[in-house]
Amino acid sequence: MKEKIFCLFLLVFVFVFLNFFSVKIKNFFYYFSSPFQSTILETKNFLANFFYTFTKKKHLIEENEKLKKQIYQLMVDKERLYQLERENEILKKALKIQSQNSFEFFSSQFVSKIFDSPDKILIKGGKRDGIKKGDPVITPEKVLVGRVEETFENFSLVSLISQKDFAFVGKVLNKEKIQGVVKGKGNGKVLLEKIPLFDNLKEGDVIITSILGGIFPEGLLVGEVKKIEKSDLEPFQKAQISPFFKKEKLNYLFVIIKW
Amino acid sequence: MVREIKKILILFLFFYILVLFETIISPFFPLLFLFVILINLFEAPQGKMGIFSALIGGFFLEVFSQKFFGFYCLILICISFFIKMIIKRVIELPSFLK
Repeated sequence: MKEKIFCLFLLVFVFVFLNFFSVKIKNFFYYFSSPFQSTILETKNFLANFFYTFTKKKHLIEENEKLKKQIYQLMVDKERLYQLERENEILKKALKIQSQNSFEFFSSQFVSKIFDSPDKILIKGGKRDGIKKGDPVITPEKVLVGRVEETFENFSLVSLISQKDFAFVGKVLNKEKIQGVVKGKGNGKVLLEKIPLFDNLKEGDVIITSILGGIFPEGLLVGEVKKIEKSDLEPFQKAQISPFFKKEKLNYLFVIIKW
Repeated sequence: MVREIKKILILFLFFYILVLFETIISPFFPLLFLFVILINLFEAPQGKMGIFSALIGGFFLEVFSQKFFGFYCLILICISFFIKMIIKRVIELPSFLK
């Protein structure tokens, strides 16, 4: 009996000790495990790509054709943007305005998913690298992934935009008057809410971040409108958004430290 | 005693590798839970390896989750005791497990 009581006390003491130093203990395990996790991730991605090539060959041909067309369109757009940029620079010089687009990044990498939280991930880089709570996390293609929720010494916990109750202001690309609230619904689902019924929102519209609310910088890509839900009983329409990033394919990431 | 420590170390290593795979491949399929239950099911009711597996498994689940230390350990220990209790009281064990 005495032995059992002693074991119980020892267990309680160990748990209290572990919780007291939980940040350091977790950081140690993440630090020690990250090389193994990187190897597992790379192997998994390699195998997934290998089998995807075989199983979706027809789909790949179609996708390739579609992407080729998109590339031509983007080349035209790029040329147009280049002209506009030059014109913009000349006008800025004439008006003596300084460039405002000065982000400071930290180059990071996906480490692992988190148990019991499907909309959270662990990334490399923490307090030591100047990352702090609330910093936006993006992919190299400027696609918004989420926001730093907790920082450890060498790692950070990121809430994805699909995290339940994660909300920020978003707007429609090329229809900047249409603004709404992008809200995470959990399990990878994202909704665009509070769009007035008379606004001409369409499937396929691209949603970007807005500076309103001050959570994220302007113009980061969020996702594409998949399905619009309208009801005459409600003053606003909703839209399901398909985020541009795929959680399973996340690898290299950037944390915006200063914006 | 040395054999017991060896077993615990192997269990520690096995659960660590399992948890690493789970965090990358499928963090929502409770593989670790499953192994703890299996160890408890196939162990003799007097054995202590089931309780150790619950402690080690719980510890790793807590490291790679947002729950406080002790949460999964307590759940798994309760499951282990429950399984052992059921096996002791209800099920007639084959002779090689006694």
